[in-house]
Amino acid sequence: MKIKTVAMIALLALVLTGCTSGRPDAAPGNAAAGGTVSLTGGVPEVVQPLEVRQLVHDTMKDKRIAFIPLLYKGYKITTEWGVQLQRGFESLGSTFTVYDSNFDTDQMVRIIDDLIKSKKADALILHNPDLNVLTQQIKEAQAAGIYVVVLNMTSNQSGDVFIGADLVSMAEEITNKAAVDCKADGKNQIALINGPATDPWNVLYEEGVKTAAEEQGLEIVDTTDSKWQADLASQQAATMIERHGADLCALMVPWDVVALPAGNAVKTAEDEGRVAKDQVGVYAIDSSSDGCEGISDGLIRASIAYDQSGIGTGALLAVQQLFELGNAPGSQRSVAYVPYVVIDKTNMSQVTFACYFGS
Amino acid sequence: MEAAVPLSLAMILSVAIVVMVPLGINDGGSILEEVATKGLLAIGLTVVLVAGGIDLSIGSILGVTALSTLILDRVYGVPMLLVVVLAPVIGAAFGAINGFLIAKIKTRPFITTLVTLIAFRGVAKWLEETYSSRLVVPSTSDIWYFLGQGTIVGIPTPTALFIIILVIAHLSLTRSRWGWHLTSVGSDRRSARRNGINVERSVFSAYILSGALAGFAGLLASARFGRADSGVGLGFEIIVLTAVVLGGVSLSGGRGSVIRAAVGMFVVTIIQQATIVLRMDNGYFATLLAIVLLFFAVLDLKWGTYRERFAAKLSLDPGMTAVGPLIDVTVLDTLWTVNGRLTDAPPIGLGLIEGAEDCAIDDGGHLYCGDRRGWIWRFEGPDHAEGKVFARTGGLPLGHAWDLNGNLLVAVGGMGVQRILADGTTELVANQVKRSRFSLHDDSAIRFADDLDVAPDGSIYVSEFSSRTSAAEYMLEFVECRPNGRLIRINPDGSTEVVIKNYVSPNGVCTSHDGQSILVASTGLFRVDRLWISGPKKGQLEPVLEDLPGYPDNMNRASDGNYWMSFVAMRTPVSDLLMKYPAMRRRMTKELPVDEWFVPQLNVSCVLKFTDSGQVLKVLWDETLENYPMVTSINEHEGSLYLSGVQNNRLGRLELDPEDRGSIDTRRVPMTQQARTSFSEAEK
Amino acid sequence: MTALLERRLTRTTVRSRLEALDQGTLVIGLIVAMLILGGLTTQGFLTTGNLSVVLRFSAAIGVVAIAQAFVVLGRGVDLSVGAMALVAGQVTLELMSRGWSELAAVGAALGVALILGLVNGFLVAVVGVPALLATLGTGQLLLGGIKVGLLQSNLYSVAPDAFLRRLGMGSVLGIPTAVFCLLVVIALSWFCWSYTSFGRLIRAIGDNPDTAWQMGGPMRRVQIGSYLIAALLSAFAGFLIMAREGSVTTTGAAFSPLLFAALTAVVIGGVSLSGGRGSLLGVAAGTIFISLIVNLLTLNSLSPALQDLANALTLVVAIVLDAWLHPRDEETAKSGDL
Repeated sequence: MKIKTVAMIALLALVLTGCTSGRPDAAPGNAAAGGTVSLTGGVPEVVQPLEVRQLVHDTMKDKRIAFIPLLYKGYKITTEWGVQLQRGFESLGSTFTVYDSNFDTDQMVRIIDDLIKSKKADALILHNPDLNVLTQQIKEAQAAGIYVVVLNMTSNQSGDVFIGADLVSMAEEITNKAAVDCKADGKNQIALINGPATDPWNVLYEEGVKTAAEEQGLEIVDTTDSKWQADLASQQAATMIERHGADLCALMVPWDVVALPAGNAVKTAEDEGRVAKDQVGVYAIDSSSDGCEGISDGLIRASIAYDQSGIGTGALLAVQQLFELGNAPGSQRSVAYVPYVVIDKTNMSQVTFACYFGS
Repeated sequence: MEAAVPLSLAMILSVAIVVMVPLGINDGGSILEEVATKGLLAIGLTVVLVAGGIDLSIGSILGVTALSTLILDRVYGVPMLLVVVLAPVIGAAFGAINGFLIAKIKTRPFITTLVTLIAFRGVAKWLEETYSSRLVVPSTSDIWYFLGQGTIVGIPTPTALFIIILVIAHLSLTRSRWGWHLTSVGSDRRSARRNGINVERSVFSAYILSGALAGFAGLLASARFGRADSGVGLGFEIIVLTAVVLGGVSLSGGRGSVIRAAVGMFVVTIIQQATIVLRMDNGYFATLLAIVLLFFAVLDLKWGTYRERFAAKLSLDPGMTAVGPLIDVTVLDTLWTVNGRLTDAPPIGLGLIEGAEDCAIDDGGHLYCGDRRGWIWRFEGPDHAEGKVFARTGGLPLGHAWDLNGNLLVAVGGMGVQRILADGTTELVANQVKRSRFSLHDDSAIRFADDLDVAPDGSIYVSEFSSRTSAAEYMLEFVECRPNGRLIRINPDGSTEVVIKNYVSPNGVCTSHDGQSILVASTGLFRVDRLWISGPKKGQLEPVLEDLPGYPDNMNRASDGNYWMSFVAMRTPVSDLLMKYPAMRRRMTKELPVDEWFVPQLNVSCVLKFTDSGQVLKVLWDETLENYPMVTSINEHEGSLYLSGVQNNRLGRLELDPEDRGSIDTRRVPMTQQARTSFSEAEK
Repeated sequence: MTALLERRLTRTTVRSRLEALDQGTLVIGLIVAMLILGGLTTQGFLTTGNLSVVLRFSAAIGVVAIAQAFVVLGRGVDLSVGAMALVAGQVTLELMSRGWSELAAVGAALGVALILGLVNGFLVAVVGVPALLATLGTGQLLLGGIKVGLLQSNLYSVAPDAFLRRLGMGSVLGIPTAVFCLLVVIALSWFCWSYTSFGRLIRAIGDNPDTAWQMGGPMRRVQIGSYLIAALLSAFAGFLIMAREGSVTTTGAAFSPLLFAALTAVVIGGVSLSGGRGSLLGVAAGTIFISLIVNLLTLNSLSPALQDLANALTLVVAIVLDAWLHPRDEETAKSGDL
């Protein structure tokens, strides 16, 4: 009996001493990315143009850049970015690979995990689905010496660079636009068809709309979560029209993929005479060629176009800069916004970055 | 055995993938981590499937617990150790909802858990909406990191914990009362209930366990990924279900092993990792999962349906036997000529008995005999007019003999050897032997003990008709006629030993009058052999009777120093011919139903007396077959012959001719002064 | 003992009374109650406009529910209906984007439905795989297979001039087109259930498969037929949804909300999961019932998470009620009978 007890204690002690917590060190790893690094601390102050070109090419040569969007194939926003990135990195001699997570968060997490563990990338370009999802992955990547660039959807954990739209300002701008139209009609009720609560896009958009509505004296009568599903969005739009009837003048929808079905619902209601023609306008954000079609069909009254290809180009530049400066990943963080403009039927053909095709 | 088929296919699949896809050592780590989390779900699902249910809500339970643990830790600041304990409790609470609906309200498992899948995910989304903004602070506890990234003795924590839980789950499912109850509920609910198993409680416990494991997996998942969204575990149910089916766990309940399920999980994870490494669209993985799920579900179903037929085809393998000359018993005026000497023997227990294979008589002249319903009858001596059920064996009582202490030994088909005490209680003498090495077939159980006798040293010799088939399938032995039988010795200390193996259908066993040898009758080869158990020839086997005209059954000593033996069936020219052509017999078993098989002529009553040297002295028949259509054993006692037959509804008692009467007490073990205390004392 | 007996007796009475009642009538009662309560508490609920929106959105659910009812009536279940509805839209639009004519593309989508129905029917009726498992697998297979094998995009829009669009707008005889389509489907199904031997055989199979078999009914053909109808109707529902929304995404899950809505409508409407029981009135009432719930919840600005919960709870109540009213024989229930 005694022997057994002693043996048990010994075993337990062995097991306990064999435990490690695996908590990552607070200081980020100093190791710069793999491959030959020809530039550290940036470009020399005085240098020949040809030499500089050679240095940049040497730095970028064989760097492996991984782009992990929410959805890629046929999805215009991300392909718009991807195309810019592809062209840029290939001309620099880097390897650029798109990992499509197919709207599957689990898949995305596993892809990133695999890239970090098997050290298959020197820089990650992420498109974050949820404020909290990638927190740990971003930390781990930086600790493993991989640069992280986050595009368009912010995360609670900062990467090295964020490039995207200034959504709060954009939301304010489009709300102001709606306010102008509403006031012309003598109405002041607007409703929001938004996305999931933890979606970064959703949080910022709601904030912007609220601020502007308060300034303009508009009343937000309804807020719903469409889960970014066309089915739900159109159902919610139809319900809102019924519920608020003649007082409603604008539906604020922050993405053209859900704005289009909402616009369809409005159009059906108009056709059936349940709402006056042109009483309710759909105000969207983002305008791919589909969104522009919606505008010209009258499904969407106005939208905000922001520079999608600029986000792609911005990421391309940011990654180059990160490698050229050669700071340890996670040691410095920066955020950059792209330009945007309000578009409607009158000006959409004149804005260069509106109505993009994703190629 | 049956699980080997899907499992080996699964292994081939995974080896093929590992060979074809550039999976590196780093993927090994990812795969292990993934198996650790989803493997816990697989264990839970296996337990539920074994109990005859299904649990599709495990992915959602995982998601909701993952989020709950984060909320407890980050928002409410609950001590981390407590969170570790609470995670499975939360999971179990959700499992209890499933269990309540399915076990108590008796809703359908599949549809119910399909609905709770949505409901629990809804809870997770609601938690996300309510708390998500407050979950961003990083964790302060080392335990959190230990669970996610730490190691125990060099093994990653999740993997180590998974292995521990796997071992515990395996042991409880296969070695504990709970596990057996669960398995019986899953195999046959009705029998389980009739055997007094609390079906509701068993089913309920399975869902609780599945929930608790999913809860713990949730804790591990949130420690590993630190995801604070409600989408954790989305779609896991199909992945885990596929893995479990791949591991050979039956969807129809009662069959499955958590270890095999874990192997299935491993295979599925390898496939998933391969699709990620190859940068394939997740549609490929979904498609592959669906194909594998459907394929193995069909395999499981069809395997279950055709298993017995398939196994019978494999196991029945008739052998060829060279048969000697056949004595024609129809020729008049020979020793063997059919006669009617048994016909008029007055019956005992007519209508009471159903198939007494053998009988025994005690000091007081009371008669004991078996019954195919598992009973032992006692007919009061000396006239045996009244009978009652004296003992119950639970099996098929066959040969009887008295042991040195005067207790009744009975060879019970399906149960081994039992000893019956004077008060009618039974005790087990032996039902196992050592399993023979290098044999795929598990022959450790004494399946079909047929007859027995006691040697002077008190050891019991038991014939086992076949170590492959049960008593109910004796017909297969007749058809196969292969050396599947054994003679087993049970030593006085209770240990057992096989003394003759690979013997063709050993049946009657009888200790010789001098106590030096044991006579064994081989039914299939129509012969009697002698096994020397002491003296110079100890251990040798030599023939006594060969080429008998019938299939010998039980043997017993006669009072004049000779032996009585009965035939269970007679040889015919056609049955002899069939013995030469095994392919013909095999074809017969495949193409004809059992009741149309051609087997030796079973309805016969023929008894003979033979000497130690193998000379047949006398043959008695019931040519009418009216009263004794079958005699399987014959016992001599105080001037009477007792005839028993395994298909008769009576015993018979025949007055012996004066010339046959001798002075030997046939019941006594030769060369011993047996004091039959137990039964005779009980009499007083 | 007597008390126990008494209790049992009264319980049986309550149950048998409920059982005798057509569940459709019960649900209609519930609907009326909900209309009154909703009208009193929720602004904009009891208006003709809102109710016509509810009706229009329930059209697709109603068609899928009837598809499901065909199978459930014969003691089966089809979990691939949601996937089929989604895939019908995807296939049509993908092929149209490749330059197929609209008619040909719709034909191809219906062809996919035909194949799915046959495979489902074959697996269930001929091979004998439990219906839940078989259709779960085929649904998943369909979604994944079409995605990797055919689709080239993740988002499709319906061309504005497409004929299919018209299913989503305008009206026929003053009824919105989608609702009119639902009414046609109901009428055809009613005819099929009441006046054809096919419909009666499905009901007989659902009531007691052994008896139906002994009667000499063509069991397998009828079962395969029911899965075939289910798949075709689901594809049709897919067109209705596509027409209403003008676009189709490829990111749907196997367990789509549509499937659950249809299942709930069927079970609430009194089509028992134990087969053989149910009426079209019940299915229609069930469809309207759940659409009204969703509408009420949306009008009261409940979050989708709580809506999910409410929907799941409705279905739980429905199956508990079903299990109580039409219990399975626990003694003879096969363990693998999922």
